[in-house]
Amino acid sequence: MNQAPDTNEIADADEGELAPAQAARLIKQTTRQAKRQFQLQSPWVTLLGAAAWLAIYGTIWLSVRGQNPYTGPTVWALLVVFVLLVFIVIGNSVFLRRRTAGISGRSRRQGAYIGAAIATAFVAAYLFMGALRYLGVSYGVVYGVYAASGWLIVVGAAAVAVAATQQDLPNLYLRIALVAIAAGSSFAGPVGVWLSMGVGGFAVLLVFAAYQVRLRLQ
Amino acid sequence: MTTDALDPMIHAPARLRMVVTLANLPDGDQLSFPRLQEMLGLTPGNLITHLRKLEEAGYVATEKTGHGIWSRTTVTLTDHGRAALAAYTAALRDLLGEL
Repeated sequence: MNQAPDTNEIADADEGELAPAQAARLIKQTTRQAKRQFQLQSPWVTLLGAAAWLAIYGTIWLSVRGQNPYTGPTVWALLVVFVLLVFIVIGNSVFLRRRTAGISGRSRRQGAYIGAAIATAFVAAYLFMGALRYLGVSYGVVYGVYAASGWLIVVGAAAVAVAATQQDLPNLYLRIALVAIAAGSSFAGPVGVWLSMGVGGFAVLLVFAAYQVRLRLQ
Repeated sequence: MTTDALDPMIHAPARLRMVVTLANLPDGDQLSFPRLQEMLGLTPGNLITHLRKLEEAGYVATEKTGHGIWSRTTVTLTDHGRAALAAYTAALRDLLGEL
């Protein structure tokens, strides 16, 4: 629902004198405010994301540490991860709804198409994981290495392509870094991959948050 | 320093903020009346007064969809409005040396 303009309330037209220097300041200030309000990313959200990333991977690493042979995360660890994921999804949805409230047109449609592409990559990545296990690939590789990093390589590659087509360089570099960490972490084996992914992803997200703060201060 | 070179349609605080805000929307997007009002902190009457002036000048386009309580008014900056803002900021730069 959208409130209709009150046409009867015709307030004073804002025709006050405006010096050129004031106008220049007003343009800078309004541009900064508008960019901040329309932007779909924020340093605080990135920082929270970094903390959640570390908590998720750290929790699983703590629960699988020392396993030989690899038997996978414990139930309590999976429960903690599930709760964190629910908080992330809800928090992110609320943030995006606020930022995109009242905006319609091309970017909303484009967002829906991108969401569909990423969701397809995500579902395909996990279906492929099931196929690997079905075909007899070891438990450690499927539920260790692939579960920790494989999905990010697939989904991340799709996200890299999105950032590339949008010529969004900061997000392009961020996503390439995350995919590289996922690929590199795979060498750490079913236990080490969780730690490597957790620390590597956390560090990259921290750097990205610092970059976002620097942009805001400029 | 004279302000004669500055487009009077844009050179008013409320309309300048309106045009700059709309210019920061992604290309091809529209903004709802309530969101624009919230961002600018103007009363509905004040906002519509300025919107009408900008619309008459061809700088913004408004579109109303739906009926009654479900009606929705969206605002977008036209190509003409974008060009006018670019000319305005260029004129400001000339006046100030650098924006």
